[in-house]
Amino acid sequence: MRWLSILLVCVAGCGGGSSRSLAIGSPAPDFSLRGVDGKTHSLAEYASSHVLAVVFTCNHCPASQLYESRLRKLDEDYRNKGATLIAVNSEPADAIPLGELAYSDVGDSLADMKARASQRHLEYPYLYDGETQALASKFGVETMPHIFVFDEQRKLRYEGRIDDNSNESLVKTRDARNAVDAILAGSRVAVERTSVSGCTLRPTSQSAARKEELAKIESEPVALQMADEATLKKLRANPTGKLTLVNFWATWCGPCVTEFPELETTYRMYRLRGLDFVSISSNDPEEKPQVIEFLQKNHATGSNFQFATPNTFELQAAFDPAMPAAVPFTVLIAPNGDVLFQQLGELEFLKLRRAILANLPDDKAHPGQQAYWSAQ
Amino acid sequence: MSYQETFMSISSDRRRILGVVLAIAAIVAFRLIGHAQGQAPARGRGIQPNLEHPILQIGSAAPDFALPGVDGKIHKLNDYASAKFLAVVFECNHCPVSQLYESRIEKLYHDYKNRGVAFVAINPNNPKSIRLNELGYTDVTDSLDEMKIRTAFRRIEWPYLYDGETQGVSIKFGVVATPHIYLFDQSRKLQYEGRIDDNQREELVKTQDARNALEAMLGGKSVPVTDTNAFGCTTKWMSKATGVEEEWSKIQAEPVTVDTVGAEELKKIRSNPDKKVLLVSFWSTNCATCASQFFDLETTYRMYRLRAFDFITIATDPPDQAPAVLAFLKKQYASGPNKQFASADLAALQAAWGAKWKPGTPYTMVIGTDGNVLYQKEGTIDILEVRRTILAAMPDTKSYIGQQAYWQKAVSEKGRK
Repeated sequence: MRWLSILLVCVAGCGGGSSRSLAIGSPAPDFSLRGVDGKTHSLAEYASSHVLAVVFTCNHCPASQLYESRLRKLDEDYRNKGATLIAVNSEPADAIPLGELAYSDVGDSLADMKARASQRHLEYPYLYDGETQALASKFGVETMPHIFVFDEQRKLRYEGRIDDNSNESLVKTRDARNAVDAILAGSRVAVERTSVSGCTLRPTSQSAARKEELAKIESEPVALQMADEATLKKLRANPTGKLTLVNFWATWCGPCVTEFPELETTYRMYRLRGLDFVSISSNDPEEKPQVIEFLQKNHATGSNFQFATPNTFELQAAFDPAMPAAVPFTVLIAPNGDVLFQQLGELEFLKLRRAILANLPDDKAHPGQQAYWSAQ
Repeated sequence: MSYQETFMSISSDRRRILGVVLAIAAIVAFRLIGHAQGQAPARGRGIQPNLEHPILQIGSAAPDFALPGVDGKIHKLNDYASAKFLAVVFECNHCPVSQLYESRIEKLYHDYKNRGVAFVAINPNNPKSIRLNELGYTDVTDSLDEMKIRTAFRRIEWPYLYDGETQGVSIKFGVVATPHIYLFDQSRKLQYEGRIDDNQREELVKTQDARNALEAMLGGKSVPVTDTNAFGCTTKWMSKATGVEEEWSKIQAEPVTVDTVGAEELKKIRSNPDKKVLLVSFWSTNCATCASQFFDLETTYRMYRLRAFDFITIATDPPDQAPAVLAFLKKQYASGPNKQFASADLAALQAAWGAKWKPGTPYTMVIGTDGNVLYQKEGTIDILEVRRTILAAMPDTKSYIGQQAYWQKAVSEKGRK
């Protein structure tokens, strides 16, 4: 994980801000960027604000997510005091490998930003710079989140971290707030630059990263096993110790075939965090060649099963007597067999991904993630 | 003891009662925690019944209805009051499982209509909720007009009603899928709901659940198994996101290109080397009939392209008309393989293909997996005839056992009385 390595480096002791960061005293770089409100925003629009804070952040970065509520609070607390907060996302959305979206329900496109802003009720402007990263390079941003605070003359007075701990309960110094307060009070900003930790901004030069990841996935083997009653019972009991996503489908089922690529994408996003994906085809055993062809076309590298006999109802009852018979049917099963999410009919993927994220345990490098995703 | 073990360890009569209790408990829980189908339920639970549209409980009164039928009349529950028993079966046009049960519903209808059982079929789906790529096994979708077409084509005799407008009746029944059958006794209390029998493939059926229930009811006995799971295509609820608009935006974003084609390549296309069912449309920009039927052909491609099917358009315009050809194809979002004659010598290219047609008229052909011509038409086509020819030609092992037989029978029975 890129974020982990950066964090470790910084724990070991980071110096000042990035050497490429905009220098204190510099004028605010101009911009013209599209926001989640569908409008184009520019620097001049905020001319009446006494203080302008520009924070570079994104959807998929776990550190950004942990700071989201703090940014929302910053916006709320200072909006009526003459300070404006603007968030900018400079991630090249199409280039991010799916495996790096392991802590997110969405990627970093403008459409994804709209989904996040609406789900988390973000009221501050959230602008997309990922197409060219022009603004990120003017600011010299390499890591997110990274905040820049400008005074009334739009001279840079503070740049760096938002505060001194990604775990909010351990924060001692609220650097960004201190800077805003100082500027509003007409006094000197005591600490002008701090170091930043979080996720590294992916440069546009790495635009092939997603494609390279896909090529690797597409070279992985695709296997299909026939599932009898005992196999299905075991799958339902889920003795794997892992969170398991199970999808019942059939080649002749339109909604199943349509949603399958998104299920694979979901698996590719979370598999490194321990999510298992099991597809179970309800096709008749004689239709096996078509099932294999479909799975290969979709590079279905999870566990794939097909009903071993044409006795559909008996096999379904072996999996779970309470399961509905129609397809598609999807369940998310906890390591102890609890059903955490279910959907008869086509999935709404954001709901599914949020259920997965709320149930994947935190790893040491990313505390607070499960709590973030469990919050409504 | 877990929920699951509790559920399994008690007798089947009691399971229904417990099922009701659990359903109520689940509804209460649902209110408390605000979770529903499609969201994460609380921990420590098994698979939940569909709380959004719960299935009508055994013993419930038949929900009232007033729905338009394929006969142009409004049908009400009361219209069937004189029948001893009432069978309500939810089915639809587009679902391949529903299609495979059509002949079984027909037999049920014939076997029981003189024994006092009235049959009513209801289509729960709204066609606006169905994407083109869900129409891979059908000639028509699920509108009332298209139900009329299916009824006429398949000579369906029982009433076939449309609930897709509001889905109000389907919600009251809690229709899980098509097909899903409900049997009501003389006082119109529900005695059985679920599957018609225990296998999609008729030749493998062991238990005739709906027949068993009807026989018990007719014999004045209690129904042995009152509820089973309905297997098939999930109901297309209008309340859910359908993806119809997203599908259309995606189609509009697909690239449209044209390659030129000479005599040699025409011969190769004609030999159908890919062994998929192949629809070929010869057209030109100065042909009004071509333009008017082009959309239907493209729609056909969008319906079947996930299956063993290809569609090639071949413009007969001379090479200097290339910009007009491309402009027309772009307007049609024709994202499949498009060709244009490489020379203005129409006769030579027709000879290479092995057919003759008047310049300025469309020429349409369906070629089977073995290269045989299954359909050819100069001039205006009947798009449903084209689709049925394709459906009858697509092999089973590539799709769904019984499908090809259904369409082959349907096409060959066109003239049955």
